[in-house]
Amino acid sequence: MGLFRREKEPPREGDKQEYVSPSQWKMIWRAFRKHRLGNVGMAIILVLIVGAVFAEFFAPYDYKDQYNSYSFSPPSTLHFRSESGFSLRPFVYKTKRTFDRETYRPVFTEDTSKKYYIRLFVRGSEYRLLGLFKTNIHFFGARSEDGDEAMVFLFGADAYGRDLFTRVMIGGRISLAVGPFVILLGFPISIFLGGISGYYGGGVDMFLQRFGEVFMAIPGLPILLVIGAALSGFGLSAVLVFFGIIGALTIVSWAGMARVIRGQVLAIRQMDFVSSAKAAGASDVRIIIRHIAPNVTSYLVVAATLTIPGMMLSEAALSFLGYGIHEPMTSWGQLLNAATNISGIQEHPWLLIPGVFIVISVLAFNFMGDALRDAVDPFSIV
Amino acid sequence: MITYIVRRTLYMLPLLIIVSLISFLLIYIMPGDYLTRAQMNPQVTQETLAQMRAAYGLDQSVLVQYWLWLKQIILHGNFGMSFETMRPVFWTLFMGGRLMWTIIVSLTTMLLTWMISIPLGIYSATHQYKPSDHTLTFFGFLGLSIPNFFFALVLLWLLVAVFKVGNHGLGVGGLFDNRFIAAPWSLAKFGNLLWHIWPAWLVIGTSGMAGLIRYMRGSLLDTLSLQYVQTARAKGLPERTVIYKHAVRNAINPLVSMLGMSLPGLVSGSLITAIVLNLPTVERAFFSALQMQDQYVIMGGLLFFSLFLLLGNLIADILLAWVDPRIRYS
Amino acid sequence: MKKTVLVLLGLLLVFSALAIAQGYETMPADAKIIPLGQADTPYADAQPGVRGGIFYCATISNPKKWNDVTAHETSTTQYTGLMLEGLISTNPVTVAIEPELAKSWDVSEDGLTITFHLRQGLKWSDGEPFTADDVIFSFNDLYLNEDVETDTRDILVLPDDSYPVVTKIDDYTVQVTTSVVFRPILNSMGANILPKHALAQYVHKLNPDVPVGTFNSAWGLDTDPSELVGMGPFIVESYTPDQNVTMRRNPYYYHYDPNGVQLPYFDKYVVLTVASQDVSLLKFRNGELDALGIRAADVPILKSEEAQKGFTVLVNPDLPNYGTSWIGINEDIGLAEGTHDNERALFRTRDFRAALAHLVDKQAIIDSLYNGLAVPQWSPVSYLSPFYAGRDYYGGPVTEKDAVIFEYSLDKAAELLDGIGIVDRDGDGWRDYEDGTRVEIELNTNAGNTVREGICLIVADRAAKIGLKLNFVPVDFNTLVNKLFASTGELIILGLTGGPEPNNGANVYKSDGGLHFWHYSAADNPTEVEKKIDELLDAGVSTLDNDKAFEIYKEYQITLAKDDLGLVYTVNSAFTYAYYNKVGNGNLSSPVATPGGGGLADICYFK
Repeated sequence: MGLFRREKEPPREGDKQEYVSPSQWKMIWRAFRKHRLGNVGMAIILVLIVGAVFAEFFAPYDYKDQYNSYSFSPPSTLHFRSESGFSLRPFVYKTKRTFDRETYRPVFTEDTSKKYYIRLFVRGSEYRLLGLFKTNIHFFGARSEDGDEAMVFLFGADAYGRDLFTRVMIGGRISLAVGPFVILLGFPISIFLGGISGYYGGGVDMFLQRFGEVFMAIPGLPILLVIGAALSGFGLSAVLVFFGIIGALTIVSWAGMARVIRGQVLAIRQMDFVSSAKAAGASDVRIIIRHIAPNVTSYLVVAATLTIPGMMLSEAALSFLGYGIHEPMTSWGQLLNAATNISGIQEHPWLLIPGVFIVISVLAFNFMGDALRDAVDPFSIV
Repeated sequence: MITYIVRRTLYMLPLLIIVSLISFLLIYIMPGDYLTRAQMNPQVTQETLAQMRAAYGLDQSVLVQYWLWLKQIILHGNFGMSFETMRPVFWTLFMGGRLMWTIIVSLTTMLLTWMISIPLGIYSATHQYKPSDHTLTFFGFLGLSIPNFFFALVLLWLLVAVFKVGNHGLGVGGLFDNRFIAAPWSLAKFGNLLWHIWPAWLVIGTSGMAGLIRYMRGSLLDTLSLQYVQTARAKGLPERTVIYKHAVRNAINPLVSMLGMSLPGLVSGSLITAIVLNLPTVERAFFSALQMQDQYVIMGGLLFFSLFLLLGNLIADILLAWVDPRIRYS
Repeated sequence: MKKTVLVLLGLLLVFSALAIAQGYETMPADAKIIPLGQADTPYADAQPGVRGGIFYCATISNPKKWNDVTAHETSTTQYTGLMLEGLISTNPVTVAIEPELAKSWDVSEDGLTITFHLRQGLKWSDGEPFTADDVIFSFNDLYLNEDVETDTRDILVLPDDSYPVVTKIDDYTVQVTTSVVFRPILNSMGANILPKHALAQYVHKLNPDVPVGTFNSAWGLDTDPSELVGMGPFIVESYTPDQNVTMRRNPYYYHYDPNGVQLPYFDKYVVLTVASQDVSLLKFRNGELDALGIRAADVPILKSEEAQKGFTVLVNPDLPNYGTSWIGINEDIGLAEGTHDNERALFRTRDFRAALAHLVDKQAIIDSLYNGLAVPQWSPVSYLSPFYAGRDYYGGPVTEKDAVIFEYSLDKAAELLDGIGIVDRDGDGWRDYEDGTRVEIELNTNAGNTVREGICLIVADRAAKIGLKLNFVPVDFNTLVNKLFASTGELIILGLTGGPEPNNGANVYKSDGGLHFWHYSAADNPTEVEKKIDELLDAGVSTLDNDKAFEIYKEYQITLAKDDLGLVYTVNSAFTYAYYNKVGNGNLSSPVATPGGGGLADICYFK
């Protein structure tokens, strides 16, 4: 259809005319590199993924650890200057929480008697890096000269005094993983059924089409809610709830995708190069692998990139409606939902930081997908 | 064409039946039933609960329950009763103008979104890769990226805590200010309705605009590269005429079918906004039935949304045939 | 002197003119006078008000019907409760029982017969007279009629499974006879009275033309509000789903203020339906609501605007709401399946339950979840009840002299666990059973209730500190209830509603009670402590002497909290409420009565 074709620039004078045809992927990559917003998006996504994979390392604390005396502590102030002068290495002070009985607000006062410098690669709580290596080295932490520790809350703390920065890092794992998992689960189904349907046509196509229509006739959000409610009945552990959500999102999304793939396959099947391959006696398997698959893959990559942000938002929406990830596990959607109330907005706005992460990552995925779509388009298959 | 529509409509029936069976089974899997909540009341005895369960037919097996429900529909057109209100399910879902408000809110939002997105898409296409194109794209996607539940609440909070609209006698949330609730229709009441509805337009609209702008932009770019547009340009027609008279007309065609497709999404997609902004819509009634496990109301809601979805698809196909004379259905 | 007489005469003229316009021509002789502003009455802090104005408040859920008899939930009864009255009522300020539709009652010497003398000359909101027939109809044809689906029947049942017999003596006298002495029956007789002339047509027993069960769907949301009839201060006038319920003044309401002004003061009472407490908070701040029940978390925001916007935030950290919040320890875990032997034995050990009680960091819960606005709880009887064991005598002041306190102490908890042989045997940091398997207990609550989830998080965190592994898994509310009733849960954090009458908890705390979910097997084989509790509960209802009953219930509460420990109590939220200063008598607000939650609706007014 070529909905998103970029204007083809005529070759400029002096441009070397190459006659070696670069591979399809190289060309896509080249076109993609020109798309500035798309590149920024990809860079952000990469950073977020690295952060999520090594979350325990970058986070100074355990995401479940409660420091109740820091309940609703605002983000720690990083100091550079004190009476003794300017320090290039930022430091924090210990804070003390008192409760104001007049205003019903906690008050945090800094104890400026001792400086706690931000140090890199400090020892803290024990964890397994990548789930494998037992270690207690954290990327940063606040320690005084004599090795005394102070809490440093980059993004502040929640009601239980849990470090929000840590929770954002850990929560990112779930939020970033939901989309890819749905794709991992749903795409094989869509590709298989949509592919068969499009390639063979006839009775098979007819049957699979009707089968898919049943799923397409089920309204998305309402059925997600019903599935969510049904799932919640099993008292699943947090990990299983995550997979339950992924399963539910897959159920409501696979059929639409299968239909699109069917259309793709149908279109390619009728193209000359496939007909000639057939005439040359190529087997179905060979035609699918050699001719059809490569042409559909680029489309799939684009579709995948554009599916992910939708899934992230769905995860957040499910949290709001009470069927998402819940305590003690965490995700950006769950964190944002827990803070989305008037006292959250007005009294402890730092708790809304997870929302910034949702917005930025959804934007990044969209820009990247948009750029990919533009880049893939010269092949006119979307 | 008529036979095509009739056939498609008839075909919806078996689909709806299968959807209803799946939904019924899902509701059955949901933990407990409508009376589970009442069990926690220290003053209600287990005997009373057992009696009520029998009276509601909740003590029977799921397939028997489904069959009895289906039979009632076929024989009497009776879709069941709400346990909560003891009234028919569709009455419970639609009462008090919920259906009307759902349609009003959905249609106006859609209309506005389209009226804004199409020109922006055209602008974006004609200024491809210029800073203004990038800016539009950025803000379009930004609107899409902010979770609706968050956006809606922050909007209300801004109105109350920052802009202090209460000082000017303006209310937030719901459909009307207090003083207009019981008042007869007047220009002032209509104005007040607009004041209450614009946050919904903004919240729901921004989440759908990015897609539309991008579609319009892509479609127009595609058309602009076609032979006949080039010809028009070569003839020396002014660029405005080329774009608006020749290209845009054809570029809009593929979007028309999206109009039908977006209908069901609007009806079942504004739940979260309706909850936060306190709008009386069908999906809110559905959601509260879901929370209370008022099972036949949940079923009625699911059937209603399914039907809307199928109708939306049908409308999309018909619209497509209407704008594109090359398509013929038989 | 002359002047005063003239003024009084003038006033009288004005009032009678008003009265004619509104319903009664003159104040009925049996009207109930609320002694607003009169010294030595519970209303000493109140003021007689002026009539007029529309009062706005908010609620979360839509009403489900207008039928008070078959309603299960407060979203409905908050309206039907305003439309109807009972023979007796609880005073919104003192929580004492006082005459309502009955102007007085006598109890026979054997305690088996109560005779109610009804107020005469009262009228329903449609002008029909109120008589003993309405009372007989309500009890015999509705509450005690098997065809009618009602929760109220369950509070009327007597210890020997019989029901009270309600008979009409004359048009204004009703007699209630019970087979055994049952102290709470007086309270139960306060159930709302319904109009026979409007509702008899729906009852199969009285109108065989309608099928059995017709009454259960009578007075639904589709009923024309003009058909709704009541005795209460306000009658529903119109309803828009998800938007509002508008109630109008009952022209024949029989409450009057000391100046002879017919109550209620407000012309209209409008309840806006909002989907979340955040929106109602915004609406209150925006001046759209006159009063609002608020959450502890919202107190700082409102406090900061109090002076500037002209409202009052009532915050009383020492005055908790009704209801209980607890950790249930399932002593029957795995009993039916023959599994969980270790856990069952552990849960049945009193010292384990006591250790758990020491692990509840109530101060942290109060600070981080309630903004400091909650109190530790130890008794199943509500703090406000005159039978609360923290009082010195029936209805006396709360001194908490006899409070059973399990203070938060990791050391004491660890010591108790060590004492019963629950220690770390393999050095992995977690405590083990004697056979070496790790103690690992699942802790459930209903997902979405942030406060309960928070309690779970805090308790599990403290338990981990002494090596006791509690795995917190939030589940759907219905799943949780199913777990309770099937005895498949391990530790469950939940709450129950409460009220002034301790016997309302009998279904929970009696060894054979339907809600004795932490130890159902006790029905056949109660422990010594449970036998004692059963006896105390039986004794508590079979005396009519409140002071005697108080002593019994005091022992009952202390036994439950100290020895039984089937439920470990957590904390109880404090009463927090906000109202605009223009609402007169809003200062009387308490957990039992608020301007927006009924109770004070008839005596609040606009200054």
